[in-house]
Amino acid sequence: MEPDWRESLPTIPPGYRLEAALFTTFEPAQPELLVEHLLPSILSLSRGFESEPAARSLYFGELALALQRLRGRLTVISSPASVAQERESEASAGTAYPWLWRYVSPFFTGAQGAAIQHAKLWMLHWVSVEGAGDGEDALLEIVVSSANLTRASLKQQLQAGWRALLPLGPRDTRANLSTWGPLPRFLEALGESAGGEDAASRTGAFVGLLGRCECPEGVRFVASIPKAFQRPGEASRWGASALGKVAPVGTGRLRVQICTPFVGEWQGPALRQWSESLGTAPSDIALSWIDSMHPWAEPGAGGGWCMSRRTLDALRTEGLALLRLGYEADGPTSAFHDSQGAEDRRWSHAKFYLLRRGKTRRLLVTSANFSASAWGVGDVGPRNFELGVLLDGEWPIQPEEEAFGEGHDVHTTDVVVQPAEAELGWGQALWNGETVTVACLGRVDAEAPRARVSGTMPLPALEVPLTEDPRHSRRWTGAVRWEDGARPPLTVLFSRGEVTLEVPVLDLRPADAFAQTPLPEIDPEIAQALQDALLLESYGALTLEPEDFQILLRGDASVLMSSGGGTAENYSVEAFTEARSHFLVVDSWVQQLQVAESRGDSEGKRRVLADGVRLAELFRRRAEKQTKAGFRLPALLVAEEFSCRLEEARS
Amino acid sequence: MNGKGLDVDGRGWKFLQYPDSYCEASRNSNRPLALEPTRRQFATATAILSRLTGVGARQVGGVLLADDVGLGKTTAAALVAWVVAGLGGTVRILAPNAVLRRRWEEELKAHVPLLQERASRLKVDANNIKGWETARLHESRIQVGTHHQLVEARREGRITRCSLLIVDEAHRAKGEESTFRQALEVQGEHADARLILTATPFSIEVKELIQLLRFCDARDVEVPVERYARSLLQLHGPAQGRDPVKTARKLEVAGRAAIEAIAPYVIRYGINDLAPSERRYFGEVGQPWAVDVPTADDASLELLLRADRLLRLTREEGRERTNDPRFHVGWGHLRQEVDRVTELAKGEVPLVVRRQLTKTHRLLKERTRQGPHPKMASVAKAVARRVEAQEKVLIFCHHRATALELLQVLDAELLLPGDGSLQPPRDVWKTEWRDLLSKRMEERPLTDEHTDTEALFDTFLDWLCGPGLCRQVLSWLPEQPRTGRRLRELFSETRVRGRTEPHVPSVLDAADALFRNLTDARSRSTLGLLRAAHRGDSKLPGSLEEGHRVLGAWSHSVDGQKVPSILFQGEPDVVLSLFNSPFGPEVLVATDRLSEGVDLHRCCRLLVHYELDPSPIRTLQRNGRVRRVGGWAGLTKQPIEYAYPSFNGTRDARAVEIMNMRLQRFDLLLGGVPRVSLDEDSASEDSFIRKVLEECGGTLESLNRLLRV
Repeated sequence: MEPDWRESLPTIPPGYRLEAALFTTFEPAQPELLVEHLLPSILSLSRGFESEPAARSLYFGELALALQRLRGRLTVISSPASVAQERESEASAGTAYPWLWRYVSPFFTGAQGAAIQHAKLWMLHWVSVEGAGDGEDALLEIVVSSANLTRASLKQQLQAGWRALLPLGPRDTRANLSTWGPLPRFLEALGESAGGEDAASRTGAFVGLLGRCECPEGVRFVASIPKAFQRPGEASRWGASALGKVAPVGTGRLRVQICTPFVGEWQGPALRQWSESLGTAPSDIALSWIDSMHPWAEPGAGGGWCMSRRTLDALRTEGLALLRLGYEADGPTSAFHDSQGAEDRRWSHAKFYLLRRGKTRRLLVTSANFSASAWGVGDVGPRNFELGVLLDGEWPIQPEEEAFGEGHDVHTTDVVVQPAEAELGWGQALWNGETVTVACLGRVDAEAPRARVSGTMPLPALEVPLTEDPRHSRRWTGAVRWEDGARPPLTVLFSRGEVTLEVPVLDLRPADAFAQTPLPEIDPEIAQALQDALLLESYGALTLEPEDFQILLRGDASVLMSSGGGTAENYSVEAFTEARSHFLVVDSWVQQLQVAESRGDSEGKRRVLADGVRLAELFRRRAEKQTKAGFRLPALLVAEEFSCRLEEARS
Repeated sequence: MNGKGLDVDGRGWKFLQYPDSYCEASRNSNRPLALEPTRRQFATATAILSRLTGVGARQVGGVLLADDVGLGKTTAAALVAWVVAGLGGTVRILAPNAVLRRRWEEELKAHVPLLQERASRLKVDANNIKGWETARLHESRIQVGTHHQLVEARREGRITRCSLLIVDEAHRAKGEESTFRQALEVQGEHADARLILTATPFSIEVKELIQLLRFCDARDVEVPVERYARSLLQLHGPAQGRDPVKTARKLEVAGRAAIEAIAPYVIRYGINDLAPSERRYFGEVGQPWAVDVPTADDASLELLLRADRLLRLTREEGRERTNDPRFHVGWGHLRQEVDRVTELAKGEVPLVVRRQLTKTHRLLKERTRQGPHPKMASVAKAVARRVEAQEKVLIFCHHRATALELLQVLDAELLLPGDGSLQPPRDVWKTEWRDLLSKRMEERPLTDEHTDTEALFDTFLDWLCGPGLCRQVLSWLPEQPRTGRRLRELFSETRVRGRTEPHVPSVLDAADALFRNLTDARSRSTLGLLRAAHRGDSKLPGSLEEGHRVLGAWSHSVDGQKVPSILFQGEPDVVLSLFNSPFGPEVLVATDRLSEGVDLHRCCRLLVHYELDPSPIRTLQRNGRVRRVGGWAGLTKQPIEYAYPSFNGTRDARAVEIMNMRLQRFDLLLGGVPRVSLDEDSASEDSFIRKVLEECGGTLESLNRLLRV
């Protein structure tokens, strides 16, 4: 039976909570995947995505509050939509949940000139729920795979990946950092390419985490970064040269077996150069491929395997061996791996390279297709960011491929993919609460692009006047005022002729202003009460159920707080049970404040203080509404203590 | 006697069929027996012997005798012991403490002449009663020791065989881990048969009953008893959506199965099961004494909530109690805790602690300025009304600090104006008392002879003729006597405490009895106290001087705390003698040290549970202090009244509610427990329980009869 694709999503290690996450993907992340699947899997939420309206609102409310707490710490770096669209028909920023990008920061490579982000790296920083202040109790989860952040990528494709969960030490050290090979530099370059300081500080934080743990033994990273980001004398650290350096050493011939669903445009000299970088010859390279009848030969949902006829001819000429992945028209549909059943329609998006010399075998699991863009050839470095891990391991495809026989046509496509400069290569929009500032990169010789910023309907879109950056000939910038904090700007659409590029607006407002933003996907009438109720819930004061919605419609969440009913033989008196359960909210709030203070997290502290003000107000309101002393007094005492503690925390 | 199970000749206890002649034989002894109780005790002894030997009944390894307090379990068990020993067996009796061990010895001795006369088949001799020092138990011997001595013997590996093991107050062996329980297990294995005595075979957990039954080698009792216990527990669960009729039927089925399972091992009589002729000696339990305590007002509640928070914020180990039950029944302990935090706050403390402390402190000050704790004030007023009606009142507290605070509040409420002048003058009183009591002694000499009887007598007269006691006696007399002669007449004519019932003693009889009691050689501590008082080294308590009418009796060893003179901290014997007489303190405040094994019933029928121990056993034991044969209730034909006052709106009220539930469960399983009155309106749960019990209460009650002989 086909496994549940959701199992491939990262989950919270027991006893931990997410502190920060970095995801890289080729196509921009699909909001539906994040909102409905990935985020509930990694955030400590008490409920999952639901379609029933009340439950759905509760979910979105809780999700938004959880995301608000992690604001500035969830990052996705991808290629710009324009580049991805050229290559993957499915790629799209998506129209669902545009508010997501208010909480999760999307960055796009290409800010410093063409650079394709093709690596699939997920890094998750987990910290203990107990909140050890010195950061000793924390984990770093690293996933390197072939999967993009789209639902199709996880649901309809077979992917290969490697995962590690590593305990973090209290301090980062150079010694630790040096065990990670090219990975720290890869992250720096990626941040640089994705738009300067903001993105670089996000990737920089994860470089810091790498310094707090050692790379697991027997694991080596193989990465590519575009030539433009390579430092002088660094070329051999990246791409094909780097792969050659980690190949098994010895006197025998190095044999290479490759299986990638996309093969770039190769010609004889380039292929020879590539082989040379690895320390082998084309005749020692074998490519696993499909015949034209294979279901994966179908473009679209059936599969996306792609190699041009011209390239096939070049490979054959150079003596590269072609092996046929097991498939018989009247036999089982697929034989990619023993565990893939006949009914499993997923096609392989995995990328493997086996390096074999004598008895030594090393397997590279990577994002890199067999293309010059991914690996670079000779002096022309890679165009892409790619990342893989090299492990001691066997070829994973079962059963073994056979040579193409007479009855089998090698699958080829007519399309020739040529790298070309995009009409609109990169764009960015930032909002500070007053002004939306935009920037984009386009072709040198073309006319000025247009930019329109839009928010929640039915607000009209605003035109942003663009001017060419005098320091940068291809860069266009502009700004427009936008002060409506209740209805923040969502996207900016750049256009030039028929070509468009949509980018989400990065919300850079300070935490307190940000906290005023209405909850997404929620009826404005109930939003405030729901937000209060969720705030109470997040500090353990109550558990919200969809049935509570009717009460929330009356506008006051404080009435939902109930004292824990005891068993028949419980000595507790209502007022005491009530007071103690309310004071647990204070205690839980104090604990969060202490954690923020001990971590030096000033943003987090500001947020907890803002919560405190609201909680004090909620308890005061509750006290006013109670006529029985047994309920009034506890709420009053709690409100009083909140005020006192806020005063103390601020001083 | 050999192997497991008791093997004795059934003819040996034939005398138990003739209680009349046994009573007849006792007529001239100093302990004449009444027929009704003797008949019942003989029947009980017969049933125990039949079950343990298998003569005329199914043989069992042990019997649990669970009669109510005061029904003479000791007498029945002493008879069983003599039958076993008299036929050549060996008996080991374990009493809870030295006082009760003496009582056992007396009980055993009292039967010797009667058995020698009425049970010729038995070999009975007072010399066969042995103490613990006896290393090996020879045939026909009865050894009496204490629980503690058994624990010691086990530690030293000195536990030996016996034919019959009798364990008194066996409920003390209920803790799984207690060393006594472990020692008892070992001793149980070295006994052919076991007889367990306790009026309260389980407390909060019915499991305890199962444990005791297991000790009796009972089989197949666990499942039905646990099922019944569960049904009883569920009775107090949420009532919503439950059908009282169905619940009642289930309860009946479970009840029947449980009672039938335990019936071969358990014998239980409640006072209510007795024939009316016997019951009257105990007095009837009347309606609960409702003491009106106001509900905690907002300020009190705020104070308690603030204190709870304050103590939680400042506790060091995380274990200190922040909502101590003592906070809800008095201000003393709370003040102590707040003072402790004040001391702590002299260092650097967070702002939130300082603020909370200031407010708690202020509230506490305001509350205490307004007067005593509301519950104490209400109880003191209610008690004062009963004292004015010439009743004595016994009050139990669970904590000494609370008891002390209450003692002082009661004293202030009941305090009479200073001693003032006395008419007739004191020397007249003394002359008349000396004359009358001396004559009595000539007519009927004291049981115990003392070389210093004169000195003891002088001391007693000094005490009796103190201004406080004279004023007390005057309050009982129908007129103000002008002469010594009239005083003397009134002493003989007037019954104590304004009563007129024929069995209530006259003032003279009561004084005579008190002196005899105080000079009983068995109470060395009282004699010692009288002698010390004679030398001027000490004072006899309860003299009511300076208008004090309340007495406390517990040892209060709190460093540096000044205790008032109305708290007596010595051996309690003298206090028991005084409180059992009409003279002396009108109110006795006690801790649970006096809740077990002592008599307090002779002049008192009113009991206040000011603080409850969580265990219903304690409550039942306390109640048993005033419900005994020959008690004031029986003498005056007035009901016994128990008060369970509660400070509503606080934990104290919950404690009373829970006690009621526990007593109800106990009553349903074994019967004979009076209810607790609850001031609060009956909640829906209560009305549900009432409906269920209306449906099946009768059946359950009749099931309990299966436990009688």
